[in-house]
Amino acid sequence: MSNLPILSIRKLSVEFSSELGVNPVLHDISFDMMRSRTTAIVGESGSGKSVTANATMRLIRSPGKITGGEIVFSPTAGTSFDILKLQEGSDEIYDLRGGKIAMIFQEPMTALSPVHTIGNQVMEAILIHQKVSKTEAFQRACEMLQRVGITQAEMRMNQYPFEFSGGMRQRVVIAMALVCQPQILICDEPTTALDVTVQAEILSLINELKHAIDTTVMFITHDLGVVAQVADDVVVMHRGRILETGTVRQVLKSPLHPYTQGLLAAMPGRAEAGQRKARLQTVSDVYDENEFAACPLVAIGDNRQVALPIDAIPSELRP
Amino acid sequence: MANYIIRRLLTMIPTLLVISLVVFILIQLPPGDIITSTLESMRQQGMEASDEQIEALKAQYNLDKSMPMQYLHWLFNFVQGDMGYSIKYQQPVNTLIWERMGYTVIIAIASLLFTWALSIPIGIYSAVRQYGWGDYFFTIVGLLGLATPNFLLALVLMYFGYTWFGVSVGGLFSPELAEAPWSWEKFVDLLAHLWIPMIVIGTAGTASIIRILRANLLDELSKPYVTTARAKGVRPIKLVFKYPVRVAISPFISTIGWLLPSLISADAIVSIVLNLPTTGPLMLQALLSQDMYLAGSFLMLLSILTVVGMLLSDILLAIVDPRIRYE
Ligand SMILES: Nc1ncnc2c1ncn2[C@@H]1O[C@H](COP(=O)(O)OP(=O)(O)O)[C@@H](O)[C@H]1O
Ligand SMILES: [Mg+2]
Repeated sequence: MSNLPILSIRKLSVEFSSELGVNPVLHDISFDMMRSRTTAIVGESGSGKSVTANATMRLIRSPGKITGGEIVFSPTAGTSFDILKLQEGSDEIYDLRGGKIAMIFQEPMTALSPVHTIGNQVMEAILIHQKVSKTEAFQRACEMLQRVGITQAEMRMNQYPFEFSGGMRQRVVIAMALVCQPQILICDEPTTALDVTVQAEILSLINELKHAIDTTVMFITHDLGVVAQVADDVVVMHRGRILETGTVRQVLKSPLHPYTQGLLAAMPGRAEAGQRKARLQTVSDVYDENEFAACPLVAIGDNRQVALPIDAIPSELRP
Repeated sequence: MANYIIRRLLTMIPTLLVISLVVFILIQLPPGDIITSTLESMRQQGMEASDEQIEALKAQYNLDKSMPMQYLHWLFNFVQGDMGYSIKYQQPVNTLIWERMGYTVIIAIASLLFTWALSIPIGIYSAVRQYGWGDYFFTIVGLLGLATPNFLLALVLMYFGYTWFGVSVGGLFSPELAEAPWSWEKFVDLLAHLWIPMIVIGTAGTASIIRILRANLLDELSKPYVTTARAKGVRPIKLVFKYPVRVAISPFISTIGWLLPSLISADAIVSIVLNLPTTGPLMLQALLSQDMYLAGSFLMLLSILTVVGMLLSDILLAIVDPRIRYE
């Protein structure tokens, strides 16, 4: 199982500057994403999940700045390169965006241009990355729409986003992202803005297509319930730092970091039957932020890391 | 779409009727009427009008009838294309207005094209290079332009036009060609004179359009659908032009509607300074001298053009933005 990572983020740092000064948003974060697996990045809002995703797509723009680190991408087993070393504005970057790495976003209601047809927008992705005729692109776009569960695709191609419901729009966004068969699909809270029932449909659609296209998924969410459903591996983020990484089993069953333990304790479904009426715990009930602030990540096994002082790690797990 | 247009056309009728009533009352509001001003000017020339003459005058202008009848008369004639008779100019209003309308349209369209050709590229540039030195430069120049009174710019340009190019000052034609029939020579002469009013009137709107376009575009550029497009691999130039510009430009499509009435009224001061044969100064005169039929016709034309212009804008907007079309 210990195959090579398809994406390897090493000591990535990002900061945003404003009149108030420089605001470091990512501090030396490192983790690996394994080929064909789903890595969930979980953390409360503002912890730097989207910034991590955008840095991978080289979408960070002024006033944001990537100040260090590398993001090594290995599209095939033999080849690999550092995404952060690609020249700004080079063909390689445009090749990557939407071609080898695609992304879907949180807000399906606003993620599509209101003044262009669905067909136009899905076909655009094909025409940018593949050398095909317009008729061929139309065909492929139609097929992709059908695959994401849109009926009467040919007629739907000529419609505008406002004629689609939120769930339908998210399906279109997924079709748009997967139509070029990317090697990595980044999902930035793709279901947060949707109804619970639609949410479940979209999750299983992503899962199904992931296997069909054999792609690797970076799944960003703040919802541990969703993590349990979709993820193989988990990265826990807090305030621009990674606190813990590991397989979904390791992180959810035997969390090492007090913050992760706090997150789990704060999950509504976790409350013991007897405690139902008790107030839900918040993370801060369990986790005192200052206690372990800025501890460096320690590798304690195959893709398992935790940001704790050595003596706080159970002795049998110490490296 | 056709339904929408028909509905809009039908609602225009009551709107215009109400406006016509307001216009008619407005014209009647100031003390004195055509008769008093005619008698006044006769008296100044040392003549006294007899009672019969006064009655005849009143009958000629329908002033012996009741107010509602006067209104209906005026409205009915207007609808038939007879806008009445100007006391001051002693000519039918029709000949007075249409003669100048042609030149007004030429100047207005030229200056609008000038404004857009200048402000749209600059607005897009300023948004894409926000806080770059070019953005600051255009902001300063634009604010200077906004703060410069039009007539001042007109005077300066007239001075340079005369000293550098030897263009005769003011008007749309050289004096020797003004009354001549149309010819190639006259057309070239028109172009040689047109640039001054084009720049003067055109720069007036430039600064504000740049600011509005820049703000709209910045707003659009930060929307999620632009990020989606970037994440798809769309390149920057196409990204700006295919998506946000189209949305950011729609406020200017609505100004096409306001343009129609401004054909008549706007820039009266510039036209006076530049001695242009347009409708602006004529309308100002008509209002000042209470030339009832002339003033009323102008106000009515303005209203009609406003209403029609708004309809035009809405139709154009619906073409650019599908969301409006389907409502
Ligand atoms: N465009 C931006 N300008 C300034 N600061 C930003 C910007 N985007 C993100 N940040 C900063 O980065 C932090 C992390 O943001 P983000 O990655 O979007 O969080 P999330 O984990 O909720 O996705 C935020 O707290 C914010 O301070
Ligand atoms: Mg986010």
